[in-house]
Amino acid sequence: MTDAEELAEIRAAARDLLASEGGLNRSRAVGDTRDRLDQRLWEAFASAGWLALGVPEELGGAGAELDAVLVVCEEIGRALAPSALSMTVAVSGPVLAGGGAETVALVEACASGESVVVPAFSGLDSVFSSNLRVSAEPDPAGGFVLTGSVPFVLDAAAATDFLVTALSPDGAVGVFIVPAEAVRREEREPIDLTRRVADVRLDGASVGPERVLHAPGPDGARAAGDLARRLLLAVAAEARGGLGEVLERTIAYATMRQQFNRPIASFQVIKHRLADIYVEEQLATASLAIAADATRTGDDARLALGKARITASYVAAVGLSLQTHGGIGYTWEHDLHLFVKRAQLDAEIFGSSRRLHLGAKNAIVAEAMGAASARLVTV
Amino acid sequence: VTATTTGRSGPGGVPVRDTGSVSVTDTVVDVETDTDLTAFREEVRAWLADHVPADWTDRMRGASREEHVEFQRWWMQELASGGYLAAHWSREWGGAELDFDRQFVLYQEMARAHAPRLSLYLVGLHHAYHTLIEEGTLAQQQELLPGVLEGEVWCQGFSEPDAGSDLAALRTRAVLDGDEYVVNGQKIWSSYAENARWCLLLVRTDPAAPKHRGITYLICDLTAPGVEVRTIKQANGNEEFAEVFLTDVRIPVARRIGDENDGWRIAQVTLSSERGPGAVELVERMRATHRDLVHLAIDRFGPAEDWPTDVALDVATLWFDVEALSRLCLTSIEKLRAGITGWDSSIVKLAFSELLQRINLVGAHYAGVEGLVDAVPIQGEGWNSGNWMLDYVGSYEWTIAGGANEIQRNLLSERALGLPREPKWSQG
Repeated sequence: MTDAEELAEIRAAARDLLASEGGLNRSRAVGDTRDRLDQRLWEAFASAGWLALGVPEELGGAGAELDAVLVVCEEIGRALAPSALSMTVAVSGPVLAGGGAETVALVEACASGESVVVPAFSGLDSVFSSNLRVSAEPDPAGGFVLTGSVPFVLDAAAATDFLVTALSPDGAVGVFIVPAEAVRREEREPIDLTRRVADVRLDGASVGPERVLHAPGPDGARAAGDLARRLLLAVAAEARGGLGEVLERTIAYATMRQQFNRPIASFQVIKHRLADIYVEEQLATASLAIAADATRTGDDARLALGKARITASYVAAVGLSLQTHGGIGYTWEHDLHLFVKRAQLDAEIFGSSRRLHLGAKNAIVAEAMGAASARLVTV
Repeated sequence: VTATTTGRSGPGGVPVRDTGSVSVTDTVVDVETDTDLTAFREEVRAWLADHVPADWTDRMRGASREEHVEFQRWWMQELASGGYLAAHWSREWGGAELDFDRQFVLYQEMARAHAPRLSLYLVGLHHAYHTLIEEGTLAQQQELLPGVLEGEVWCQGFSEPDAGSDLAALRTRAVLDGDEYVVNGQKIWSSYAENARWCLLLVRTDPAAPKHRGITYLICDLTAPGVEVRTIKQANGNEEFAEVFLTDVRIPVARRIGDENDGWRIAQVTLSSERGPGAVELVERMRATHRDLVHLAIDRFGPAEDWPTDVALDVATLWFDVEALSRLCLTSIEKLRAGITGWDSSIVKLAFSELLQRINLVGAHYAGVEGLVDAVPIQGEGWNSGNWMLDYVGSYEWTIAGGANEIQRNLLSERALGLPREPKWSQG
């Protein structure tokens, strides 16, 4: 655990950096131009050392713990900065670092911003349904040939390399590093202007032995599980950050906006709405802490429902915020719709609330049945 | 009902809204590196296993008020014999003086063992103790505190028929006559007033002053002439509340807490006693309620794989809501221990009370018509009877009392979020 003071410093530094790099105007610009990557922001992140935040020091990273990494993800979500940043900080970096000495060069390239490694994990999948959509055939040179199609990959456009999880003929899971040139990317047009999504196809992509992060086997399966969990957690953290930002913006608007000769924030209906969002924000903070612990312990039910709860609160909050803003919040010019759209993608990607709840059901029931009923129930 | 007030904010402290997520260090929960604490947990668990009667809910189901009082008295003596009574009291006054972590463990284990709550003595052990220690004189402490541990029951005389959410509008009048106040008025929603010896009483001493500045805090001996108590049967069938009628009741000035007209501030001190590691007990009991919901769902709909989708979604959603509430509660307890003042008690109250309502309503729905017949309340267990419908009705005790949830939302929006107050209603 990182102490509270240190976390606050990391938060402030991340917020400053994201704000000084243009804030939401930048996110909008990226959305409008469909650039591959916000290169300037990426470089700023690299020089601040954020890109290798969660990578152990012996591999050239900052060796930060998960809670510190999540603080940066929250700020990325708050600023609507590209998710590829969260993916690198919270997912690819730590997963690559688990590969050992042979990946040192790639980890360093990620840290410097030269390489951007994106997990080729389908947004349609979740921790409960990690469909292995790619097959890995061993080749005589000790490498593998990968074939398959991975729909709805977040930030595929930004990738110089992909982390691909694939199934060997004998049913074992491996993790491979595949250069972007070796795949086909078909860009989709998300309604969320701040994000990029593509379908990724591998038509017999050759992966040399030096690019096998984990050969098919138990280590590979573990790493694939870690990858899926970290994706969910990164989205949950971004959503928690976005929810906080939406609350602050709504408070600011309702306090400033006058109708009937008084700030609309003095009407009880608005005050209670904001109090409710505030309670949800506090519960989201608690949920993120639960999800982070669950990621460490491999408790998929708590992780999944943490993500589901945070994103559901985020979706509810942006809706209430839009209503509170009135007509101005419904304009393209106003920033609020960027949050509305991002919140919905957060809620649906890597398992919708409905799918995650149904996936967690058995674990919940097993836990409840394990403990004898404490009360005397009369039906 | 312990209080109906405009707030639980308490005095002092500048609230700072949390804008970030600070991970909690669960020092008090699972990772008990302190082996003494683990040993304490085992000791408590073993003691509770030996002393909580397995059939106590059956015995209290449909019990009379007298039987309930007798049972509470017995349970208090049991706790005292085990050394667990008045965990937060100092040894000087006969308490167990357990440290923060041990109190937390004790409350958690009490809930897990489904031990009876000491509801009859709640106001004496918490509100009266805290108020007397913080604001009372030594003479008042010496006169009144020993009786609490000897089984004297206390109640709270704050709310009035026309002073509920607007507590400061209270009108019970006290007029000084020599070295006594003469009190006339009516209090309501006073839990266990019928059994109580003492009442924490708010009265108006200066009708001309602004309403918050004309209130005085007295300790009323309910055996004094002019006191009449009538119980109120609640919607869930329990009889815990009462009305207290005061006609020319004489209260010595020596039983005034603090200065005349400083009662509003002292009332906030009383209410702040509701904060503390005790909240963990409520959440642990809610976990047990959720486990019961799982059992009920299996009973009604078969094994989990056969559940209709809406049932699976309900059960899973409520499960995580309890988890999140539990974590929120732990964070607030950690902050309290670190001396950080905030608005956590309002946040926890809102989240807890509304979740309690939702769980019990879902339970009542699953139990169906069979759950709506032949239900008998358990005295003293207003929202924990095991009957989903009675407990759903009982859950309104939590959304209404202790500062109605609407008042909590006002508090949070004005004090935590800094939103403007509503303009005052012009009286013409």
